[in-house]
Formats: sequence, C-alpha cells, structure tokens
Amino acid sequence: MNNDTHINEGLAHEVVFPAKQDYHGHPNYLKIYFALLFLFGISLVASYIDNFMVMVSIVFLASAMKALLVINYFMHLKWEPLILQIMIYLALFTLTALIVGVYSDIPLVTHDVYQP
Amino acid sequence: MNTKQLKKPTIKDIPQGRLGMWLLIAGEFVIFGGLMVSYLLYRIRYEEWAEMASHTNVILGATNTFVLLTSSYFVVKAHQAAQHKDSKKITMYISLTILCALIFLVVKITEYSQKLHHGFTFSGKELAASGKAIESSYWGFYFLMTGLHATHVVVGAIVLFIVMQGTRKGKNFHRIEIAGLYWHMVDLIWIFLFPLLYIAH
Amino acid sequence: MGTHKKHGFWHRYFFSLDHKDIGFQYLLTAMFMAAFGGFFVYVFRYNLAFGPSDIPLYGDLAAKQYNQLVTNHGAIMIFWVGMPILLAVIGNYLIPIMIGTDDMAFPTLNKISYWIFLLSCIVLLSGFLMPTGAFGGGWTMYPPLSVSDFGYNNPNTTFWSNFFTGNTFFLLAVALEFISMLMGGINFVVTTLNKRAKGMSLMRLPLVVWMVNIANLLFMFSVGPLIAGAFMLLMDILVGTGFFDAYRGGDPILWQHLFWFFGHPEVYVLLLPSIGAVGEIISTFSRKPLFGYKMVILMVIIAAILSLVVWAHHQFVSGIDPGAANIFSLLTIIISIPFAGMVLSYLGTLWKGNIRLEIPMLWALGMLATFTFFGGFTGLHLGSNVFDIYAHDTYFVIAHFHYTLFPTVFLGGFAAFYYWYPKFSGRMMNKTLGLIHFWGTFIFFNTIFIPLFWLGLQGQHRRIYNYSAWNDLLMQPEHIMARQIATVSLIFLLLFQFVFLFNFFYSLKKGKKASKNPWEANTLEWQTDSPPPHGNFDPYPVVQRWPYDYNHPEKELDYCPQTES
Repeated sequence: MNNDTHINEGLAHEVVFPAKQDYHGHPNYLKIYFALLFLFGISLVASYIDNFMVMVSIVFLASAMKALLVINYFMHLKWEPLILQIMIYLALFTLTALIVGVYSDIPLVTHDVYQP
Repeated sequence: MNTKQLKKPTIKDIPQGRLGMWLLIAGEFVIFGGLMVSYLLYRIRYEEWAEMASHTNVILGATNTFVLLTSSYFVVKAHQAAQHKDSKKITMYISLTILCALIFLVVKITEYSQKLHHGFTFSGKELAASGKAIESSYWGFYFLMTGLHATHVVVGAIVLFIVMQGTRKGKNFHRIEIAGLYWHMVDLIWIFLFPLLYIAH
Repeated sequence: MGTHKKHGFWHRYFFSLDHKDIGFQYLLTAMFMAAFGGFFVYVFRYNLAFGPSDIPLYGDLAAKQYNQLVTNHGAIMIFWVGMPILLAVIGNYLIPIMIGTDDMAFPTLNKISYWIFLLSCIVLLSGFLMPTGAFGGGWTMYPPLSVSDFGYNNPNTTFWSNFFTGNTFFLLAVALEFISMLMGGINFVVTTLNKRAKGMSLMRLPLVVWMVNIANLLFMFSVGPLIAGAFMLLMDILVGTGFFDAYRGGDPILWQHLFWFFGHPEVYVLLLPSIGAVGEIISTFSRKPLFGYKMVILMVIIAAILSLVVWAHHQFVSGIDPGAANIFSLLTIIISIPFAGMVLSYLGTLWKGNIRLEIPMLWALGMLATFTFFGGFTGLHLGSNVFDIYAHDTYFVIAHFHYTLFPTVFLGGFAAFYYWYPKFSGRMMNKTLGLIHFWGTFIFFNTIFIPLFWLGLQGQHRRIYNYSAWNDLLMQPEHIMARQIATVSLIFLLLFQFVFLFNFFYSLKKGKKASKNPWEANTLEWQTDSPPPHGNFDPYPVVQRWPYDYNHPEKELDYCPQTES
C-alpha cells in the first residue's frame, strides 16, 4: 500500500469537491462514439449468420467490447485507482461464479413437465 | 483540457460523490446480472424460448440501442462542458439526452403494446392456457428485465433534469458527472439486454 | 450524554444527521426487534418441550402459528438484529471516530437508510396483522411455499388478495432492509476510503474498520442476485408469472441458488465485524500488538472471496448435481483455512500477554472459544456432503448455526457493546452486573445447544411442531429430558438479558463517570471526549502510528495512542 506517501492537503472535513484535482483525461469522445456504432453494426450484421454458435459468439464479443469502451472511456474507469477498478470487476467475478455454480443444475437437467 | 496524468491518483483522490456512485453502479450490475444470469440459464435449457425470442422486434430494439449509445455520447460531452462550467452547452447536451430518453420510452411503449396485442403478457397466463406453458415464462423475463431497465431510464432522465436545473443556476457542476455515470450504467445494461433478448434466437 | 441538551427528543432520535445519534437509533431499534425474536423463540421452544397448550404469556399455539414464529424468529435475528447491530451500529458509531473524521460521507443518506430500516421493521411486524397471518414458510422463502399457502395457480386470488398476505409483506420487508443496508454500506465504504484523517493510511486502520468495510463490500456483491430473485418471486406472488413455477418451466432450485448465493456470504457479513471487534478487544486487554495484523486482513479478503463460491453446501439434499456438490464440499472445507489463520493470530496475541479480564475481554474470549470449537468444527463436518446428507434438517444443523451466529451476534456484539459503552455514554457499566450477565448468558447458551447436537444426531427433524406423533423414535424419556433442558436453559438465558437491560439504563444515569480512555487503548476514538462532542474531534487528529503499539519498548506507558509520535 503506497498510501503512506500520499497525505491529502487539508483536513478531511474541510475538503469540498472542487478543491480536489480532477485527474482523468478527456479522450476524443467522437472517435469512441463511432467505434461503438461500428461494433453495434457488426452485431446487427452478425445476427444474419446461420450458425448459431458463431453468431452468438460474435454478438456477445461485440457487446463486451462496447461495454469496455463505455466503462473505460465514457465512465473514465481507466483513469481511476486500481482498487476501484478491482472492486468494479469483482462484480463480474460474482456473476461468473453464479453461472458456473448453477450451470449443472438448470441447463444440464432435462425438464419433464408434469401435465395435469 | 489537459489529458496528461498529473499524478497517480490514490483512492482518497476520488471525490466522494463519484466513489459512492461507482459503488451503487457495482451493486446495480449485480442486481441486473442476477436477472440476466437466471434468464440465460433458462434460455440455454429451453429450445422453446428461441421461437419466442424471434417474436421480439429487432428493428425497434436496434433503434433503442442506437438512441442510448447516442445519449451516452451527449452525456459525456455535457460532462466535458461541466469542467469548463459552460452551462449553455450543458443545457444543450442534457436536453438532447433527455430527448433520447423520451424517444427510448416511446419506442418501448410501442413495443409493449405490440406484444400485448399479440397476447404476450407479463404473467403469460394466456399463453400458458393455450398449451405453451414453458414458452410463457420467456415473456415474464422479457417484461421484467426491460421494465426494470425502463424504470432506470425514467429515474436517470429525472435526475439529469434536476442536475441540469442546478447547473443553470451556476452551481454543483460536479453533479453532472455523477448523474452521467448513472446514465452510462443504464446504457451498459442495455448493451447486454439487447443481444440477450432480441438478437439471440 | 449531556452535550446535546439543546436538541429535543424528536430532533435527536428521529431527525438527527449525526452519525453517533443514528448509530444509537439503530441500536435501540435492533434491541426492540431482538425482544420480538427472543419472545418468539421462547414460545415455540416452550411448545416443543412442554406441549402447545397454555404457554405462559401466550396461550395456545397452533401448528400454523408455530411455523410463523419460527420463520420470523430466524429472519428477525439475522436481518433485524444481527445486521443492524454488527454492520450499522458498529459502522455508524465507530467508523468516523476511528478514522478521525467528523461524520459520514453522506449524512443525509445515512439518515434515510435508518428510516428505511425502521420502515422495514414496521412492514415485517405488520405481517402479523394480515388476514392469513404472518409468513410461515421458513426464512429462506423457498417457492412454491412462499408464493402462496396453496402454491401456484390458485384461481381464487387477485392482485390485492395476494398483496395483503404475510408472504408479500415479508418479502417487501426483507427488500427494504437490504436497500437500507446497501445505502449504509456504500456510505461506510466511501467514508473509510475518502475521509480518513491525515496520516491514517489503509495499513493503519483499526482491524474492525477493515472488517466492517470488507463485510459491506461482500454484502453489496452477493445481495444482487437475491434482489433479482426477490423481484421474480414478488411477481410470481402478485402478477402470476412463472419464474419458479415448475409447470411453467421455472425451477425452484434456481431460487435456492439465488438465495444461498447471498445467504452464505451473509454469515460472513455478520461474522467479520464481530470478529474485528473481538480482535480490538483481545489486543487491548492482552496489552500486546495484534499478532499478524496484515495476515489477518489478507486472510479475511481471501475468506470473503472464497465465501462467494461455497453457497451450494446448503442445498446438498435439495436435488443439486452430486458432482457439483463434491466441488462445493471441497471449497467449503478450504474456507476454514483462512479462519483458522485468523484464530491462530488471535491466540498469538493472547500468548504471554498481560491479560486483563475485564468484562469485554470475557465476552471476546467466550466468543472466540464457542465460535471456534463448536461453530467452526461442526461446520467442517456439515460442509462435507457425506455427513451433511445424514444430518441435514436435523437439530444438529440448528445447533451448528446457532453456535456460529449466537457467538457472532450476541457474544461478539456484547463484547463490543461493553467495550465501547464508556465512549458512547460517558459512563462505566456496573462490573458486578456485567459479570452476572456474562456468566448467565455464556453457561445457559451452551446448555441450550449441546443437548440439541445430541438430539440432532439421534435424528430429531427440525421442522416438526409436535413430536407426540413420533412415539417410537423421539419420545423416549431421555429425548424429552434433552428438549426440556434446552428450553429451561433458554428461559434462563432470556431472563439474564434483563440484567443487561437494567445495567444499560442504570449505568446510563448512575454509572461511574468514564475518563477519555478508560481501557488505555490506542485507537483514535479514545483520544476524544466520552461521549464525543458533535464533530468528534477538536482539533482534528494527525495519525502517527498503527493502532496496536502496546508495550512498545521505547515508551514508558504500556500503550501508545495513534496520535503520539
């Protein structure tokens, strides 16, 4: 932990928002917007592919890339401290754990419907 | 604006409003993630749901994706303007964002009325009565996930409106960024809802 | 408590933004709810030992009421007593004064989260006023029992007739409680990360602050799927969707997964703040630095992450995949390693310490001993699916989880309470009454649950209202005797809590005045007045060292406050 080296100017209770230096940069948002539209176009075109697995992989890959672009550049997560990034991606870890843990109980079980 | 990193930020440098919003966003991710995971697991189990998924209107869904992506761009431009305390630009961009939100909701209502017209209701009781018991649950997920998301759109638009009014009086410019983060989250969730519900069939 | 005389009663207890007042509000509300939880357990335990008729203070107990009381006892003790006391009270009261700041990051949000919590209490208790009575399907709310008393597809119900049932109110109350705790949790984490005093680096934080924050993050990340599931269940109840209806393609197993995905980390959400407070107390009263401070934090983080992947050990007999059950079993046993590490480091702190057996120390040692030897070790047995299939749904499981949760919530909670009481009231608690309270609680707690371990191994099933129908199996004299020992012990346990209540209110008025630092501890809260004034510190502290410098070789005193250079 390198927090020892950093001591905030002023006491904690005196700090109001604008006193803190805003440290994240502003990339060219228009470029990122067009990149998002491009990925969106790819997923639309890909939806006409006949092979289901190929189609789904392309579509979800494009979605994941879109999400990364939004979260890193529009939401500026890229510039935030590592601890915050870890905390956000921990949310993804929990969801992955949930899918893996439940997978053998829902999709892999054949469902015999009781007909009244 | 200077894009160069001034010094390596520590966790204490994050303004507390932004940090709180990030934690809220993480919480929301897990809530929507729980719904999506449940949907995905059922979707893999039931071949029958593919047929139901083909009843969704891809054109309207794609329109909404486009609208939300665009609104995200407007919000981030408003955030950039907020750093220069340029309340005119902020008002313009936020108004455009709220316009996008309204378009989104109009499209959503159109979609819902189509679905209800075809007999695909939230409870799915009609479909179940016509012998398609398993298929009927698909529409439960469809309406629950999109409805919850639309609620977030409404809340986000209202928050943005309130924050915009504040900046027009020349104060609380930092709130644009925090409300903007929330709006991006709404966009992020839709980025995953769209392929899950509309494309994969 | 004379510093706030200028504020009236209403202002202080309903509209205050001060974190100390809000913490006190949480404490009083949780004690009020604990009275309900305690009364419920008295009624149904009396029924199990002495029969359902003529229960003193209650009357006759019907089978349906038995289910309602058991369900609400579980939910109240976990969600309305454990979580507010260990997360909200410790977090609200201690975090700002331990990190050396004036208040929480978002005081208004803090107030709102308390109000939502209060609302959730009211909603839960008003479930008892519903025409069909309170919810009685178990605190885990498994569908289809939780959807309605008649299961799915009951044609005679409407939206509103479904709304005014105990089921809906129970679900809504739990949802409100989660919202309140989520808002509180965001507040705590932001406060800790962002409002620390000058010089207070993360590695100089007291252990309990670390633990409360990790618990809050764990709660935030694990509760999402359950909230999603609660939406689905609520729609099943009210609108008639089929998310968990097997006929409509839903699967009740999914609810169990979503529930326990939260439900297991919840145990650690309760445990971590408690064991953090115990660590503070053990270090203070052993007059020794906490042994392996960094290791404890590392172990807790590992345990928190592991706790997200062990949940299915609650479902070994509910039809999950046996292959997956093996993996979950293995992970469950692995998670005991970080906790063993933590206990080891506490024992290392005690080793050759200059131990002062004050009342908080007794509670802390009691917590550590019972939690480890009974709660932890029986957890290892139950974590293994081979044994769990035999013991599942018996009183062995009941005794196990009460041996984890009772030490966590009550022994650890009382340790923290006795330790910080001088700080928040400005007066010392009566030591004799404290001793009576401790030994009464500790002894009778053990005599309740040790018989239940034995009864469970004999095969006594947990969800049975009246055992007289099982004459061959569980109506032998020794079984009846064991049940009666447990029940009588419970009644004594509850009676001893009145000693605590008397001590609490008596010492508030008549107790000996406490100095700034009655326990000679190091952390920042002991460097300000007792009770702390509005704004906590004047001037604001500058932190020079970590919180456990007891018996420092260069110092004259055997303790060295964090502000001392």
